[in-house]
Amino acid sequence: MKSPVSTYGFLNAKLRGKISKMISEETFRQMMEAGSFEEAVHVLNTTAYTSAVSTFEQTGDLLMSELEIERIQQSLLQETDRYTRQFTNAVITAFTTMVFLRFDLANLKNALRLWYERTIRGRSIEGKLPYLLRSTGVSGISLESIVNADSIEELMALTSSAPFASIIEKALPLVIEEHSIFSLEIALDRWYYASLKSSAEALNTRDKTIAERLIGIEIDTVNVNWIVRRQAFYDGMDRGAGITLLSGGLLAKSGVLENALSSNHPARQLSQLFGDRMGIPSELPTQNDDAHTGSTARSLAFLEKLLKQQLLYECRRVLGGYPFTIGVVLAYFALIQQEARRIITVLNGKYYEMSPHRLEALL
Amino acid sequence: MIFTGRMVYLTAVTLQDYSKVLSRELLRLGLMHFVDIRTIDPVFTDESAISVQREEAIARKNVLTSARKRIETILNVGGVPRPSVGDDKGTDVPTDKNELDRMAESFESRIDKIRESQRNLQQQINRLEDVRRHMDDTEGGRFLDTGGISKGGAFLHVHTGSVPLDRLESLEQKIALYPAVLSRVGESGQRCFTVIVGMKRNKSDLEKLLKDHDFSPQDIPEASTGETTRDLDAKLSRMKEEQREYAKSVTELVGNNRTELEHAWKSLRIQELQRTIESRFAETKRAVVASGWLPESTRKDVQTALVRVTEGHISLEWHKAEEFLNRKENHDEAPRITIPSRLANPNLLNPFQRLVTNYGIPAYGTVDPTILVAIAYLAMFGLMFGDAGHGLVLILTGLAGQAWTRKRKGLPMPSGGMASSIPFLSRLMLWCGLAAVVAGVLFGSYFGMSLLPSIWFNYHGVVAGHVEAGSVQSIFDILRITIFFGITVIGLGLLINWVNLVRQKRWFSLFFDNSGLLGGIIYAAGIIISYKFASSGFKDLPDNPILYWIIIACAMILFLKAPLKERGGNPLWWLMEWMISLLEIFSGYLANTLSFMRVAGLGIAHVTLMIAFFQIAKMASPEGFNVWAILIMILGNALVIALEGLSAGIQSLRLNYYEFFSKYFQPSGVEYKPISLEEK
Repeated sequence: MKSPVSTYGFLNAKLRGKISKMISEETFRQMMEAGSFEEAVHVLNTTAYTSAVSTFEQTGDLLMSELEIERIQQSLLQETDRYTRQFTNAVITAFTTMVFLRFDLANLKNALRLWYERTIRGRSIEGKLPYLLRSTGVSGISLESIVNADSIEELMALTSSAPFASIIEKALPLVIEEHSIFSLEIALDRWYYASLKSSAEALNTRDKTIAERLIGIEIDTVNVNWIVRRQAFYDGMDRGAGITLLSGGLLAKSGVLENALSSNHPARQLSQLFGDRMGIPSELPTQNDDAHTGSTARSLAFLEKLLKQQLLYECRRVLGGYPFTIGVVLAYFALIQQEARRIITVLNGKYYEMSPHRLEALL
Repeated sequence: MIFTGRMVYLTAVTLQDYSKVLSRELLRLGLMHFVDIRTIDPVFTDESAISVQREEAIARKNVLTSARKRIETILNVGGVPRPSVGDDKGTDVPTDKNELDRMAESFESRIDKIRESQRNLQQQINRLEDVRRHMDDTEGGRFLDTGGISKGGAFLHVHTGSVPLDRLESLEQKIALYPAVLSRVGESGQRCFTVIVGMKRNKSDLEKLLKDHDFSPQDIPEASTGETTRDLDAKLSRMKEEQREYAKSVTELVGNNRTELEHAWKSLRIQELQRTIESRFAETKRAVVASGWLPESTRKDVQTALVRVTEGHISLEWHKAEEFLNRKENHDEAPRITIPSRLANPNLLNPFQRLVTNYGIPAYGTVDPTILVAIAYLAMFGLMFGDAGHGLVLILTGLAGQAWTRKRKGLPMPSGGMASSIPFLSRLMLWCGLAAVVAGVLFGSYFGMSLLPSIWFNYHGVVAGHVEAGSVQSIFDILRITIFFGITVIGLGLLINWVNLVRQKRWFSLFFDNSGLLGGIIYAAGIIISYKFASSGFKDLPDNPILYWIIIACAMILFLKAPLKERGGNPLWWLMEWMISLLEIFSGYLANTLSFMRVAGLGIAHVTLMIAFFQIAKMASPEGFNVWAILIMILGNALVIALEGLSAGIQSLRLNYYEFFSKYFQPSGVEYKPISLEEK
């Protein structure tokens, strides 16, 4: 059996090298403080996202630049996947394949949203479709086919070969019934995290501990995200059927979250819960926060942001620990996603002439 | 060049009215390393006497920086390198910031308009490309039937028929809003025959559109998918060409106004630097105070210049650096002052100066090791990489790097650490290549072959065991050379350390430090004993007891270090410190000296690799050199240049940093950074 050093030695060196070349806080600051959108874009000329600048110069289209940023992210992940297959074993590869699948799954969800907009809501998607990243697709499913499917039956047929085919089959009727694709997205997330946790079970003890911590924080983030979106969707209306949150969160058991939700002051309870766990004093409104007011939605969004920060903190902790573990792959994946997200946020902020102060609050 | 440049401290006080001329002149001179006067003279820590109004000046400067960056972005967008202000020496240029802001806004607005057009065009291109992508699809049905049109396909829907000529243009305009293409096949009477290919998902919309335009479906046997595809390709090609023209128009817009933009940039940059200087001034109600360090050699010129521009309304107070060096003894309450170190080396030695500053900035008044590093580094590199042919390759690579750097001057560096290091690495490579060529000629090595006789000794012959005459006949002789080289380098390091300590009047350190006189004497005695021992075939130690007594005496004196330094304390600690000190001296010096054997090791490895590749080439072509042999030799040389070049460069650096610098380098200095029009 290979030692951790021989298993992770190359990956560790390679990924740490890539992490060291990621965009620094100083560069992000330059972008945020840039005097114009064009200036902010050109800051990227000194980074690994130069091709996004060229794309903008050739097309004048911010969305094309965003697409290019996603392509760069995709190619980096594919490269990491190749290294993982080459240098590690089947168990680790199976786990990392599931980790990287998240990227393709996000694209699949984008395609499903476009399909929903077109087929169920009858809206034109021509303005959004060109900006869908045509990735290799989950289980070889063509995103093009998904978007162009004319009916639920056709969609089911297209996804029949996927491991989550039964999930889609069950969730699609709900989509029609609820006039929302939310339940389908939740179902896919649930399948994904169950599969991810299952593939983590086969890792060795040290890797498994690290993986479970990081997955746990992500589950917390997903749970809060679901709550935020559901809150926004049902704002001012009678709540529909409750959602069953994911289990396995690091900071909050799903039962605790559900109790907080059903209380009269969900935001306050959640902020106390996470604030205590993360040692952060609560900054959320503590007066009568009516569950149907916008302040609750803002509070929950703030929580979501806190959890994302917690994930980054955990990544840095992993990177500062024993180097030859699965942690370096997971940390790299989280950091590369965060980097791409931040770039897109800043560029959009500059495009819509947001002040640096406001932009910073968004990041 | 041997020592850091001599500096002198200036405090200049003038009236507020002369503040701007003072800052402009200081910028033009570009010699002052500004310091906060409060750190130099305790008088000025009294806030009521003087204020250092930095925030306002910094805010003014920041506004100018933003404006400058706007112009810089416009220049970058147009592919124009960033200019430099070096020639302008602060001459008066139009400085109305509002005017410059308006100019920047005008350019930005024009560029935005072009971007808007690009965006709209791109959306059209995206729609057509969506269709084009599926024209190549073979899944779900054939589209590219030869000689006809298939009415199916996975994603596409095809309509063939005719449209009234007077409705055709309107139809084309409306179809352009969809991912669809209309191809004209021919005309008959008042109708035009067309093929319309669109996405299945838009089928109902397109059918409604066609109905609204009096479209009459019919088969058109002469129509072909190939023609439709060609039409679409031509249209896409035209649109992409138009997109390129737009992109070019941005470059042209900037290029045509390059002079104006560069002028604006320079003006803003000069103002920005002036505000930076003003932000370093201290102020009273009526006066401004500028304080900082200048090279001593420029004192007279600076004095003349400042008196001239202020029409004599200035008070200049000069202080030698030495007044501050020992201030701790003169003024107990004075803060510790760090005098900036100026490394005044010729431009040619820039790469080695950078190697030095990478490690640290030498303390003021100490030896500037740049020239010594250059000699030591290149000597080590030559010994490890002694081949004239390989050296020539390095020189050519260095020249290519220099050419690339010149071409990109002023443009932002591409991403990644390597790209930004190319200017520095290429210059270093030039020097290393030269050293390798010299060494190669000395050793008679040209791409691993002895094309010409060696001037010193035949390295290849020695390693291969063919040399029977001369001073260097075996690998052990080579090792001996490198050991002597190492002793020289270490000895030089010790000497430099003593010189530094004498200049700093640090007598205690001079005697008692591990790299002090006592340590040096122990090392020297140790070298002599080792040499005699080795000369006897590692059998007999020298008879003369004096050497041993010298070592013992020095070792005993070293015991006094701890009690003298601490003047009280635990004797057990003194004993511990003494033992550790001795251990560090004996083992440290031994290890440092033997470390230089790697120079021989790498040189031997270089030769051995070349011998190995020659053997492989011979095996591939037993009857003389053929194509395979040549290929093997080319690849072999390339591999050796890359691997050995990298190793030799890194090991030379390591030996300099660890074995050489550790003996004397005091990296406690602050770099001399005057605010100047010369951009670095």
